[in-house]
Amino acid sequence: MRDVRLVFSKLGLLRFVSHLDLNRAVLRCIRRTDIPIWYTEGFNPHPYVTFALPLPLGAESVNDVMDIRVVGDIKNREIMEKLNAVLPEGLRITDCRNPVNKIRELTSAEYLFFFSEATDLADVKTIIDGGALTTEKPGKSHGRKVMKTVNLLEEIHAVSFDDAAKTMTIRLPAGSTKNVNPISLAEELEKTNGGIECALVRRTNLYTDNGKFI
Amino acid sequence: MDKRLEKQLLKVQKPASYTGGEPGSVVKEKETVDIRFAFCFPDKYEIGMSHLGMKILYSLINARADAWCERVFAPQDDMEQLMRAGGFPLFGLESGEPIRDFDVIGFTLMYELCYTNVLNMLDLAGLPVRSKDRKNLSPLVVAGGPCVCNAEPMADFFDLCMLGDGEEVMNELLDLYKAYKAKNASKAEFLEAASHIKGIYVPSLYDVSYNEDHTIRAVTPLKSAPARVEKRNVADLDHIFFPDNFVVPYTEVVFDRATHEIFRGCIRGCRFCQAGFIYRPIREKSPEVISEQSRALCEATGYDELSLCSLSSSDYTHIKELLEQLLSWTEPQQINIALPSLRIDNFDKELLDRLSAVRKSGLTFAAEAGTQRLRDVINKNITEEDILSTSREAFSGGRTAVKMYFMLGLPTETDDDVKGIAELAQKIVNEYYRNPDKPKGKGVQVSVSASNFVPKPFTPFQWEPQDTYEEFIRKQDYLRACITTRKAALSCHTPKVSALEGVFARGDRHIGDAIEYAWRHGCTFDSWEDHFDYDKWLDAFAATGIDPAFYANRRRSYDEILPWDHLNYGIDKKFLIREAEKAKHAETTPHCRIQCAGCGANKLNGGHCDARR
Repeated sequence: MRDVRLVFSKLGLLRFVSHLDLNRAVLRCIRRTDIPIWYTEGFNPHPYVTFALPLPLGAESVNDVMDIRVVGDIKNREIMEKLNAVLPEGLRITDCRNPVNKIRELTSAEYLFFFSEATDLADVKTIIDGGALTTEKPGKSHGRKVMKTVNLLEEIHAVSFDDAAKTMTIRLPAGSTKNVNPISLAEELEKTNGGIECALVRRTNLYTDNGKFI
Repeated sequence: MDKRLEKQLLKVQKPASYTGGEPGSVVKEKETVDIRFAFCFPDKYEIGMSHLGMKILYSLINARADAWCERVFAPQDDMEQLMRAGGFPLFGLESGEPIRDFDVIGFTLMYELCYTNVLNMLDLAGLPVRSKDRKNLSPLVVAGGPCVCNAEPMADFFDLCMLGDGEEVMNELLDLYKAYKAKNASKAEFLEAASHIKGIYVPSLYDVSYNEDHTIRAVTPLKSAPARVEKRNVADLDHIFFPDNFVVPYTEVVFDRATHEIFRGCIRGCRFCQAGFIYRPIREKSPEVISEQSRALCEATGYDELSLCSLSSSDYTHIKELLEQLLSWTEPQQINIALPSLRIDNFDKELLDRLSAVRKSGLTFAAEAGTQRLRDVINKNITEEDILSTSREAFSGGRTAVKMYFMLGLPTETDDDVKGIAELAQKIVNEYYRNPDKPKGKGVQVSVSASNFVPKPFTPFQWEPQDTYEEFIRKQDYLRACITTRKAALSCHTPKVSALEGVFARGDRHIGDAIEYAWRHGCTFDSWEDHFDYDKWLDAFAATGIDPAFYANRRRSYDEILPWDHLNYGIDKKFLIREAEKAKHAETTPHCRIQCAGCGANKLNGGHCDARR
């Protein structure tokens, strides 16, 4: 029995498929192959699959990560080929390897924001440089559901702009302790300045404190 | 999908139900096909994607090299607003292209209260809702499904209806369409030719005249249309098309699993049940074929649940063989088998234990009526002792919940029958406490669900008056007062919905005006409580001069011409009258395997009926 790390991309219309729905779809795709998958041993046995970091609805991703557990003899390359043969359009396994990092070591993620032709990138820069962009999100206080105000730009690991391509590359906190939703960021940017139009958000890399998540 | 609409898609709930691209969905090169078919389900994606009939016909049409079938569902309010505001017409999920440019638009009518959604979808597509206002051959607007057995309320909107089993008639229709399209035929020429295909009903080829009392005087076929249209019947289920793959949805839908129909028709003859008559004669599929096809289906879809569906599944004659064959491959593959309508009383215990899905599900009785007399009236051949002994067994097996279904307003019902519902629930509660092995510290929960009887065409009760709204309310209140134990919980269907169903179910062509009026005044998704607006419907009836009581609450005489009399579902009217008379005397009819009641449906099958092998 061993864990296998699948690096995958989720592109195009698949960005409208939520994390839970993707999880279910992947389970079914695995069942369509003869990969010797390990089944959980609970009341309702199912193939064991864990995603490194849920992707918000509306975002694409490349270099995304899920782990599966296999039993018996199968090569990584074979797993990748068998899965790619059954995955729907928009979902592709791009690499299959033995995990190095643990999923809980993941602390940040890099996103690529594509802006429309009409957007003035300087407007985006001004907001990002300001370091403050708040959004409301549902949270809990003393066991009650409340709306909490959070600053999306409190912690920026890195940011760069490409004026010709009209894109912004930004690395933000991610993982179980602190997580910034890039779709909220895109929405708040658009709300703050009506001239900004974000065409697409794509998550491009995952990081631990010591470098890329591998 | 239009890129501008795609950009706004995050604003709607469940955007993945509008994008297509699910595993199993079929994408073709449009230049390579002659026929583009939009299969429309006039309800939400999560309902439509649970429907087996759509999956069968989707695969059947796409198995043709010359046709491409796409799926279309009724967009929900938020999506409809985006589409109307941006001028985006209704599109097929597979190509994202407007369906108004397709060749055929087909609706499946599962339920009367989806009728306004049909009109709304045609309108969203950018098409006139009435057949006569769509002058060209394409798009041809067709319909099928159980509700077309009385298609009259929707007769003005559809170009043609397909009665009965769809598997064979669909291909014949598409072949004819292709030939007529190739020779640039007019819509009228095509429709007349189509009316010669068995099972195809072209409403515009029938002239309906009325008496002064609004009953029908005559239905006259025009041109060369047949006087009566006989429904299509697939004789041999083993050799009929069955899909080897399903579209597997991303978002959660009501029934998200592999489904296989083990037989069509029903031997029981419950007198209120339309399905029990219009799907006759009974035809079984053999265990080998079901097992083999189900296995291919599970392998193609990756589903971990297989549901065997039919009316009254326990009447399948080879149930043990079937389950043994299925379990031989489902167990190693961790696939659950669900048998939604199985009677557990006469069932192999060991086999039952291996059906984990059955173990998990609750115990449900469809007793339908509270007293033996009324159960005899409706020919529901289940006795109080059956119910109590099965409950006893279930309680000793550790179950603590029982669900019971009843109907209010059945013909000949008195207040004693209503009270009988409460008494039966109480007896089940007592049965629980009499059980020595009952779990400690756990109470019993008997859920009593009371729906309202709607008389339906092609049943022995098709002549009966439906209870009025006020009478339903009175009976519900009385039943509520009769239930004294806190262990029984009563839930009732809203009589307003039932009253509307009652008008549609036995409506004639006049009802179409009210449907259009109600839709133009904002009625859609009428089967959803958050949308249903009874007052708007009352306005619609008033504005179009329709008296709902004429359709719902009036007793018809046996010699009145009924709006669906020119449609032949194989059931002899004389048989229905015999059954109606027996009902009045609380006389039961044994099921078809004990004794043939002479319904006449075997004629559809060349005189053969599986019940009399």
